[in-house]
Amino acid sequence: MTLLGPLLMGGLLAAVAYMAINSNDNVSVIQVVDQTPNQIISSKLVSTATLIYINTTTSVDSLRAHFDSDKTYGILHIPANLTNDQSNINFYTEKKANLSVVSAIEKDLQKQLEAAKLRNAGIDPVILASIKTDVSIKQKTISGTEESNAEASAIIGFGGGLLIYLFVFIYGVQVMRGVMEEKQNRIVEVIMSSVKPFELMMGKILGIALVAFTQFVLWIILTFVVSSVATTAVSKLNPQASATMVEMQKNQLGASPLAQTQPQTPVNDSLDISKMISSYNLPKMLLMFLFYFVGGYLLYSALFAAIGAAVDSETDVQQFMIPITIPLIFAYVASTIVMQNPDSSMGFWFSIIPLTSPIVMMVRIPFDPPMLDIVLSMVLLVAGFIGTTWLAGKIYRTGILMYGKKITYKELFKWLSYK
Amino acid sequence: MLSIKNVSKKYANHQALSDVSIEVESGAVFGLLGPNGAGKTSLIRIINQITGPDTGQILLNGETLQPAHIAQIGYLPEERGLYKKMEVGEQALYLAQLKGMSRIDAMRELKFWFEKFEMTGWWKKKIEELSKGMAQKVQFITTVVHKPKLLILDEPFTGFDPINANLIKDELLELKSKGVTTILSTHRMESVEELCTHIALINKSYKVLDGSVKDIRKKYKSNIYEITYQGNQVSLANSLWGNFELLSNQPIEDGMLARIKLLDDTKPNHLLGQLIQNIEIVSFKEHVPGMNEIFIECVGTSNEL
Repeated sequence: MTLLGPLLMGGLLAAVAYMAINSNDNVSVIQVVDQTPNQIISSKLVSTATLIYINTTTSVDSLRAHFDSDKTYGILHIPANLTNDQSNINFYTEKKANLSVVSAIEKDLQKQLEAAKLRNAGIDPVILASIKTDVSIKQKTISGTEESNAEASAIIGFGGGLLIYLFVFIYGVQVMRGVMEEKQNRIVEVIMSSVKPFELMMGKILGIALVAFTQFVLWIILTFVVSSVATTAVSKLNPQASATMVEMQKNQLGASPLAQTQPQTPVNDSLDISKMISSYNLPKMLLMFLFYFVGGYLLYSALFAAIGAAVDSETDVQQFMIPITIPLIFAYVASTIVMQNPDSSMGFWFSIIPLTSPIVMMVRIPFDPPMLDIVLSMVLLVAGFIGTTWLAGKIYRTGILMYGKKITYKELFKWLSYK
Repeated sequence: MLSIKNVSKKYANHQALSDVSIEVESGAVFGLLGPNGAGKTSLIRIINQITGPDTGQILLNGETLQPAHIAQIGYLPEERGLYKKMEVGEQALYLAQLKGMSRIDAMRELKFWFEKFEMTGWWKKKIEELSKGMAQKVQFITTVVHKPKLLILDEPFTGFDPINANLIKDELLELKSKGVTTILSTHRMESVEELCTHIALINKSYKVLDGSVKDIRKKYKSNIYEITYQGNQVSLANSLWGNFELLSNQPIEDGMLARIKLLDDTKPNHLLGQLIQNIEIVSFKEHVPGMNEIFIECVGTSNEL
């Protein structure tokens, strides 16, 4: 999986680009019958590479009677009283009409109708266009030295938090599975006679952390290599396709929660991330990311290890997973809110509590939170993972050699009191 | 070699061991017997330092048990397994190194054992590709590869096919001749009689019996003699005047089998002298109780208490 992942990712990008090329070479010819006075609509419709409008004076009925599906995709009928009533536009096709063609036609008609209505109302569309204004505030801190951008900060912070969330989840579960495997294989008793339970648990946690790190680095490098190879290969084949890919990437950005909350943000700005990143203290951010990543991982994977040791089989896992996944998911949800108001009291508390701080503090970091908050959060996180590791060690020690017993929370609490 | 002194262990609401004291002599094959749930595995885990006793003390060669002793102990648990996805050789090396061997030493010793058990071709195989019997050989090797002075085997023969069980038995005897002390926990009394020099019987967390097998069997000798004979039942009964008790008398293939108990201090010669005048004796032998009988008797009586 380590090597396959990036290949799959690159392959996916290439496949999508390939499909984008292939779906675009269909040309749809539309016969337009415009009954409006002076044919005000059809005369303004502009053909594109894939959508060609042909104005005709033949009646709709005779066109339908002599329909030639080789030359014509469909017949568009625009009735005379269009500017007052838009409910009567008809589009005839041989089979069910292609959705993208219909929406393209609808968009064109809407644009021309709006222009016509503006002219009727005495407004020149050109003037209107010049009135439309795009405001983008340049943001500076009071010290004035560094230029920062709230959107970019939010994206960077959220991205970091999301990565930590995903990694804690993926590798935490891997720790749990590893522990369960050892227990189910019954190898654990042999190993227990050589090492202490706590050593075995920590070994498992640290080992998987190193696997995670290796995999992470490999993925980044390989994904970068494969996707850049794929992109150049495709753009050599067809320059238009690479444009499509850029468009796709923009859309993906647009689908992020950030864009949902701030729909007015022009997507082009957020693509300038590389330029904006340079305005941040990168080494500091990377160090913070590493700290919270390691801290969050240690905190949660100890708990995951405890679950793995307590249960006998996969089916028992569910009931114990919930109390661990809830704070994780909660932190993720909270981070989408904190992103918009990083210095709120909600942001403060969630970035202090160790169970949520690895994710939420990552969101706050690019906004330069007070040093005191950071230090407090870090100290609590260290205390937190020492605490969970201690807790997990107790459960692990008892659970790992216990078979065939139905484990309840009451039972787990009892284990904590064993010396 | 190993002294277990007044060890008690209690789990939440279950007394696993109560004041158990056992001495295991160097070079002995020590059978740890007892019904399921008696506390054998708890005791074995304490000796392996997997858990600690609540009270009491364990001395290995006079020293309190400590992590450094791990290298001197080889442990084959009852519930044994291996990493399924790992290669046989790699795994054996790993487990040997966990016991404190250097990689080079482990390699050399493992080569020796793999050749001895004719499994050199398995080195690169994964455990999941092996049959159960093959995996058990690997497990046995990983238990003894670091040349432990004390070998602890929990139910070593369950799950082994007869050929492998014999192979292991022979290995145990060879290790014994090299001075390795073995603690064997088992239900199978015939292997106890074959292998063990000493036993301890644990029931319901208490030690109810211990000592050398010879002494124990002598102690449980019941003065019962089995006589096969040809002749008349009545003449047998007629000759039994004095301190005898006829326990049973039944026909067998070539005559009759009578079990007679000698009461008080009556000597077997006395019995023979009386019988020989009246019936044709085919065989005469003392009935020595098997470990099985002793086991059932001990567990039975202590359960009645």
